[in-house]
Amino acid sequence: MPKTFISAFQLCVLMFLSLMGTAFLTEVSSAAPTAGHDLWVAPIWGLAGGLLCIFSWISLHNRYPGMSLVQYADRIVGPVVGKLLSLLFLFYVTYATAYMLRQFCDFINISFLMRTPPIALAFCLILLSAIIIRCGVEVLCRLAVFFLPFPFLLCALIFWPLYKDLKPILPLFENGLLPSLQGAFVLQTWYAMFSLITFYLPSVGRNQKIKGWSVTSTVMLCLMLVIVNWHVASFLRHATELYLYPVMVISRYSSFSEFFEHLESIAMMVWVVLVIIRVSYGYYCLATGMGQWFKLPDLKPVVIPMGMLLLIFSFWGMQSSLQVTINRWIVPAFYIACAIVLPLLLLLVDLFRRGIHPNKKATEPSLSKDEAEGAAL
Amino acid sequence: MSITGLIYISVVTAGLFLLQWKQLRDPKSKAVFAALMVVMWALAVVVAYDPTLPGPYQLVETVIGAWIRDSN
Repeated sequence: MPKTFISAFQLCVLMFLSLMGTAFLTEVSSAAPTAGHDLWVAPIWGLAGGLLCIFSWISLHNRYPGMSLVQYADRIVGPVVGKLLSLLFLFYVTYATAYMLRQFCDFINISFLMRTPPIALAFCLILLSAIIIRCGVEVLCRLAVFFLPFPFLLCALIFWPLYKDLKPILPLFENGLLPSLQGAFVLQTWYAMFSLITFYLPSVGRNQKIKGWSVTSTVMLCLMLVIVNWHVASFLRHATELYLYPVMVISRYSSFSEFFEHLESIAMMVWVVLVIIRVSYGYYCLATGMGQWFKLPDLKPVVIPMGMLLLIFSFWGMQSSLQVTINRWIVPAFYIACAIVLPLLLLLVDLFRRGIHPNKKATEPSLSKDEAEGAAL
Repeated sequence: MSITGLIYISVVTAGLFLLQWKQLRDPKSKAVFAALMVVMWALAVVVAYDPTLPGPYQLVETVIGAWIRDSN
């Protein structure tokens, strides 16, 4: 399989766009119960977690160029523990993608297609994503670049007509810093998704630009979250935490000069595109990771089984996606453990074993035939 | 789960299997693909038979929940 390369900019756009779709959908309702009035400040604190995540994964990649977590975990902590850690990370990727898929299918089922079973919607989304994944990472990134204006369009479409009704949200930090910090903890569910960069970094052509573009992507996400949260909190006020999909509620109120009504249908179209990119973003990581775990020469044999696994995970033991939010700390804690704590531990072990500046001979060990095939994925 | 559900899952899995199988050349790829498809088919049947069966969400809730005190 010929190795395809993507640019750092394309990866930045892919990460940003894949997170924006779900951020519009459920981010506000996740953070509002804890952050309250300071909802819009929470993403700013949360940015620290996002940057820490990005830097730890990039540092690991710099020490093991051209490899993903599945490949270098074996070298850092040994084959057995390495395989187990890789499997844990792949479980986290599956969990996060399947949960998001279920959330979106439930959302469509509640809001628009009430007679369509959520599994039919999930199957269609997975099928479309599988086609994208089989075309390769380049197609996925180009798709993301093509649809880059969509989140901005969505923002403008929903929030522009409301400007006359918006008022400042005061007082700030009414109950101290704790609510916004708790909100930031919940928002790590989104920032943690930057950890999937580990499977994309080997495909980036010019590695020296990756740090700058990754930071840009994280900061852009933070800014968009601040904008969305501020508008929602300003418009809905204390009612924000009562709604499950507050942005959708606002889009139903919006209208352009009493001529264009029902803007939620356009918002929905944009949402579908963004969610397909988000599913493909996680699906590609899962397929690549599993292919590397089995040391296959190509990711195609695992694309269909992993799609089935995502579909099964999104319905297994879950009557509704709301069920997982019973304890709001569990999901962010799990994501932080896999996206931030895991790479930091690996980095620490590697620093201890090979020092701050590992020599080139150690970073480029002779690959066995199977590993060379895995690295070519 | 009804017999129709079982047939539906089996037919879709078999269709996807045949679609991919023809394109695989490497024996290792074929073996991994076949094994994964069998596992996924079995999982799909089990989950369709009893959707309330504890799954990945309950696993995470049990493992992580043991470390976290709910302050809702």
